[in-house]
Amino acid sequence: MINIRLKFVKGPETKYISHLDLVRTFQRALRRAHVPMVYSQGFNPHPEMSFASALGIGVTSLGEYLDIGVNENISTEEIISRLNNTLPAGLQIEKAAILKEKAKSAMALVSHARYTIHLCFDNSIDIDSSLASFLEQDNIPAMKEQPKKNFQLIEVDIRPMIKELKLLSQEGPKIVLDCLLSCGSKANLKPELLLQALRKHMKEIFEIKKIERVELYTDVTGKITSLLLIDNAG
Amino acid sequence: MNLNVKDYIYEKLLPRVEKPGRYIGTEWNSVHKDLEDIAIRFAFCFPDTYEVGMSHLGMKILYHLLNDQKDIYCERVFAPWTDLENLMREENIKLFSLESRDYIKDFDFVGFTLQYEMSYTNIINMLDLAGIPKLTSERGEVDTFVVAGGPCAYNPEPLSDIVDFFMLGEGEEQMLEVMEVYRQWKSKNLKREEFLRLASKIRGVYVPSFYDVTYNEDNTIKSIIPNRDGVPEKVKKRVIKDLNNAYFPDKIVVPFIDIVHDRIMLEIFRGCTRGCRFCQAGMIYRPVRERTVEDLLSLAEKLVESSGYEEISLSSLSTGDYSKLSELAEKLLSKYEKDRVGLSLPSLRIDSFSLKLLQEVQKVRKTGLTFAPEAGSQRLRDVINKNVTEEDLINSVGAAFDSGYSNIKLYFMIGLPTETMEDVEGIADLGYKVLDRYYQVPKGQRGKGINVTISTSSFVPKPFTPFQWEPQDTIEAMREKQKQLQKMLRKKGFSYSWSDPNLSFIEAVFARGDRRISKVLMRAWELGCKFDGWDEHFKYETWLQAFEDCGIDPKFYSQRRRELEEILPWSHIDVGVTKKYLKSEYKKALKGDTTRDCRSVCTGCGINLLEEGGVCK
Repeated sequence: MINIRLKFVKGPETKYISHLDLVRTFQRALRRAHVPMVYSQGFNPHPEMSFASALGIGVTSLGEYLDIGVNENISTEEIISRLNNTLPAGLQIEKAAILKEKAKSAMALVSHARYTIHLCFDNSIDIDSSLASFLEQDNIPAMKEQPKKNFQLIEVDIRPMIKELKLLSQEGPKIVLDCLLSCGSKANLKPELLLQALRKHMKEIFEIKKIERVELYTDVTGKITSLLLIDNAG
Repeated sequence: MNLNVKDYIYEKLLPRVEKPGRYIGTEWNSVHKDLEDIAIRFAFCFPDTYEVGMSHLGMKILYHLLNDQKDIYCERVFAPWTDLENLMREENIKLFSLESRDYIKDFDFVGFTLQYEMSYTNIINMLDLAGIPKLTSERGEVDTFVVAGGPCAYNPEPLSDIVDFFMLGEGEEQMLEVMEVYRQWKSKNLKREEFLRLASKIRGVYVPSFYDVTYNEDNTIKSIIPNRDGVPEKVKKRVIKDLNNAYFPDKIVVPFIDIVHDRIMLEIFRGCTRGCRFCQAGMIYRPVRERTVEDLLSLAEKLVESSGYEEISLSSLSTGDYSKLSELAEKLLSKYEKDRVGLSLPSLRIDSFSLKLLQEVQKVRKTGLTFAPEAGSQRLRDVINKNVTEEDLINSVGAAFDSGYSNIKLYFMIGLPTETMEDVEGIADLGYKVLDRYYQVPKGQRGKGINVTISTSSFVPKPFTPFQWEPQDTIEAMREKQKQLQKMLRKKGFSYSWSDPNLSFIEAVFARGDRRISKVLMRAWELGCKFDGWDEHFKYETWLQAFEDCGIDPKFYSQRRRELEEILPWSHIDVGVTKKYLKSEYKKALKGDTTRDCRSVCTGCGINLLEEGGVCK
């Protein structure tokens, strides 16, 4: 089996598609593209594919990752061009890399995600000082839903999961933030939860205009590195 | 329409609904056209949710049929779920099509497919949401035409106040003929009524306002007569003569979200020759016409290629009756094994042959098998002409149990003509015999966890069946029968489920209603009825209120035995199967005489006289 990592965009046309629906959509696009997929063993064989991280409904992304297993040599250019002909509007493969043997999966690697967040406040505000005081806190408690426990709320400290949070641009009440948050199985912070805590801290009302994931990273001994550069055989 | 409204729907409304994936409209193979080249805009409306409507084969066919025409843009519309509806009403957003998100009130046609009587209030609700006048009498020169088709259109009368015209029978040819008449009408700048007059000349088209209905003192119909020249006295349904040359799309829309039937539906034949007397589909879809194996293989190839689906389902009323089923199944299986495209065989009568086929087909053991004996005693099965014996059933479930199945579903109807409590108890008896047969398989060899599910629906007499003259059971009688079965089936290994008698009662009224009950539909909608086919939305008390407000007794339609010579509300509709044949079948039914499958010998139903030269083999 040859493992290939695909980096793709999830645009506005597909932002309301749940993760499960996305999996099915890719399976069918891969079939239409005649990508020679490897199938799992067992009673209910399914094509070998795994996504780095599920994206929230309503969030677009410029940097999603999917690992697939193929059983024939196929060039990355070929895969990109074939898949881009069979993916529905709102999904596009940007890059592909053939992985080294026994490479770790994107899902196992992912540790951080970068987002840009577009907010609109009721009034013009001093966002710089708000962000500074927000980040100065030793603990930032937030109430997180637990999907596996009937969506019961649990208090978590999200401060350690905020790696970066800064202002990208401001036009009066319109703010664009850039943030790097923990993402993956060890620690995971959704941007919505960060915004909930920020709202509480600022005591200001704002509307979330857009959230976009920009890139997914892995932590290589403290250095944040793009998933595409890891275990890349080429 | 203002571009901002489209964006507003997408960006502001959809994030606030439970399943925004229902309203996206950019699915793979969905058709998006540049409006500059478009002469006719058609909103194909399914009066139920996306998940239900997208599973419907007829819509898939007609959507692409229309869109293959350069100057026609056909878009899909489903009933918005109540969460989106509430937002739309709060913010004054009108009903829009999925593809362009344009308001459908500005389209040339708004077409509804009628699959189920209990979706009728959704039609009114959708017209209201769209801002289209709900009554045909209120629509003026600038308004869209509201058209309907599908199986329930064979008794169009309950919708005659609402729908401008109906298309009866198969749509592949008729639809394009209507579109051509519309092109010519539009180019000549004629009056609205003139279009309906021109369309009524197309075979299969029925314009209710061109007919006058008069009534006798006892409320039965006295006459149904055209009220102008050139309108046919009887409207004949349309039939495609040769299915192999009929239009079938080589691509289908592949939904993002999970729908009821999320797979390729390969239509292997139309019609059914079994002649079950309760079954409307078995009568109205005649004659039987098969596609050839070659045709089906070629269709399958195109559809697999264009959709990427991992499953093909053979679609028909009775899959086992396809004359070359094993050849087709084997060829499909061997062709797609390496591509891992699976095959499913619904509507299969289970016998030893089909069981073997099923096991070959289903590489993964599916735990459940479904059988439909329909009635509990041989006497009653003869009445309904369901030519299955107890021995057949026990042999079939036996073969299934022997090969490891342990989950069996048995479908029955209660309230069938001539039924007694003894027949009802026969349902439970049959259940026990099935259970006994399971325990005859030695313990080590049988599947674990026996479960025999027995479901009873309540019989609803339908137009164009031999039972169209029969009264429906009273609600009390249905309940009593259900209670008896609940009592008898209280045992480990059984589960019993039954349908709501109140719902069956209302369904029976609209199945055989006349045009006077159009106003009841309107009233029920005004009082808040919609999505009546959904348990959580069905409001029985409200329906009774609507009948009362309109001064109409629902029992007149559902529980009255009709005289054989009575003029029925659909007597001006010709489905090919003759009244003479239905009468003779009815009389045979009451005597318990069966009629054989007409594949071997013609039983004279009349369908071969519908078309010149005949369509039956």
